[in-house]
Amino acid sequence: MDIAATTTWPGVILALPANDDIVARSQAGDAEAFRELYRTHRPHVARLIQRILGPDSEVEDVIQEAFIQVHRSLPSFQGTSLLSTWIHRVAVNVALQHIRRRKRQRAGPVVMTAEPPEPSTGDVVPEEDVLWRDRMRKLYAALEQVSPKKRAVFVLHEIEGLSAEEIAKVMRAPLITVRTRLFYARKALYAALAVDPAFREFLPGGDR
Amino acid sequence: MSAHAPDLKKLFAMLDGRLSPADRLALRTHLETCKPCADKLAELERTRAALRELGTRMPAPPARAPDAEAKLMQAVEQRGAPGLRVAWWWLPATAGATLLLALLVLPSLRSAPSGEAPVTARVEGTGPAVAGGSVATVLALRGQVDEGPSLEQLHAGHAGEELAPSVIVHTGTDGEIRLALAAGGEVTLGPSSSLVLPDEADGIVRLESGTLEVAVVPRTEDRPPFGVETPLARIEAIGTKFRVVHEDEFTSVDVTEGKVRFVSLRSDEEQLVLAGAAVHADGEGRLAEGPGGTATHVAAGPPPDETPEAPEELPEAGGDEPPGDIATEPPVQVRRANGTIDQGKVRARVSRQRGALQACYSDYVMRMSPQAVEARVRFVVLENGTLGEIEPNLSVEDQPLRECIERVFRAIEFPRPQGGPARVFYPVRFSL
Ligand SMILES: [Zn+2]
Repeated sequence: MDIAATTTWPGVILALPANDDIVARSQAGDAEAFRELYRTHRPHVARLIQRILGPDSEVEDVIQEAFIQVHRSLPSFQGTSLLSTWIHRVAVNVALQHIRRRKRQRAGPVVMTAEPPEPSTGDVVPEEDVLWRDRMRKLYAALEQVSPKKRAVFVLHEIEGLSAEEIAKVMRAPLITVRTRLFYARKALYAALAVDPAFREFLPGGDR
Repeated sequence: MSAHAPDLKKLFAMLDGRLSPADRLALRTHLETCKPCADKLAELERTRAALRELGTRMPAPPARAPDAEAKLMQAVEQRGAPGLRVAWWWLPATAGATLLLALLVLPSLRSAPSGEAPVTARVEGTGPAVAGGSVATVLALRGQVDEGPSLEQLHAGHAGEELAPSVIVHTGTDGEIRLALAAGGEVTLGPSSSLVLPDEADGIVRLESGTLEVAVVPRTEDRPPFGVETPLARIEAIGTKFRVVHEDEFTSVDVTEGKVRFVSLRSDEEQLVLAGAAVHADGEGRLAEGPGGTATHVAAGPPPDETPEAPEELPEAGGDEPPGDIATEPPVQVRRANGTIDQGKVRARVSRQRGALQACYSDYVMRMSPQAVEARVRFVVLENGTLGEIEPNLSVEDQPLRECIERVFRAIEFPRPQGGPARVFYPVRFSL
């Protein structure tokens, strides 16, 4: 994005976006411009939110909420990041907010992945799809045990394949913080998954 | 070879290809003779491969529901122009202003032991459209809130989040919330209190009731002084640390450091209050010495700062719960000493090293534990701008972290103090 002008905020220089018609028009309340923005960015927002919440979650409402938030916060978008990065940040924050709210609404601690490993009978080979669905369920159950921020970092890195640098941009956190969150999320989750038979039996490349 | 726990940090770095060639070679050599490490790495590789594969097998995100766009546009149109009602909690804060003060004071709450963090404050978002982003950042919260209607409740997980202009924050009977103001400085709202955030970064905060601890740096002349207003009085900071209490028919201020101007809104009477003194205003607008009210009002706040005369008598280190009510930012407070020093410059020069300081902490976290650490650094700046004695007093016992912090401070070139060496107290708080 080009930088057209700068303005000062106490002690800071803020860059204003240039020629960003869709942003300017949306900021001015142009419904068509916002509709266009929605159509352009919905696929990626949907993907991010679904990755963070998990495949079985009700994501459509959260996607809607994310775009309502985008609409509300358009005035504070000043072009210091790319529009897409900024929208993704809103989406991640809304997803995290959703998780926090969900956690608060649940009475008492959530019991997850506590079942002891089942002894392998050796004669029943589960259907591949069933196995992967089981792994996915186990992963998202384990993710409930870490803080929402660590969860987001873990999912974006391990599932979505974003680099720590990209995550730092999206979450607007120092790189070092992202790396540290990732380390602790991995430490907890790899340990939980490694003892799970569904993951233990995974052989890279030999399982399809 | 003696048994040892595999170094997970190193193994993950290996996994990510982030080890230097020399380290990689050293690790490979080690793995040839160390089964636990080799097994661990194999396990990590297997788990990561499974996760990657899982990523590729995630179902596609749901296609847009047929009516989704129409519903969204309807919701958006009902709201009117963007930003009319700004919710506070997710503001992406593109305004760099908040960065300035987030510097060393990172969101500092230790994560709650269970997933469920106690709710500590309520927020009413009443902010108008925000052009400049947030006016405050949540640094820490604790305790619990009274039940009551609210738009959104804050809890420990919100540390680090940004608050919009004109938002009202309420705390419960044992709730407490510490905020970094976008304009600089920090305030801590005590239990059973209500605070209205400024309508713009430089605006005044309004204490509706309860206790407010304030720590701000003096402002330069081109900016209005930091101010707190209550229904009875206005308090202007002239560079300083003080506490304001407002209850029904009285407002009091007691000053720990620096001085404040205290103006009764009923009588326009005003008074300068110096460090160590307290003044209160009553409903008739009369000003009087002393905190006024009852002692319990004041007891809600933290204990007074330690005596400035005895900086070498440092509080005992140890205990992993750092005293959270210490004002940490703006951190520069020049102690009673011969010399005076430009606090803004000291702060700026330390802030410039925040990357190096964060690296010290990051190293600590990787070696030890992810707990928050508070470093209460006291040092003397000699007349030529170099560092004299320095005492980084940590909330945890850790020699390498101490030394790392000391090294960073030693490398800073400070402004020259006036009238002899100056003593500086600079608390720094680290957390993930
Ligand atoms: Zn080893």
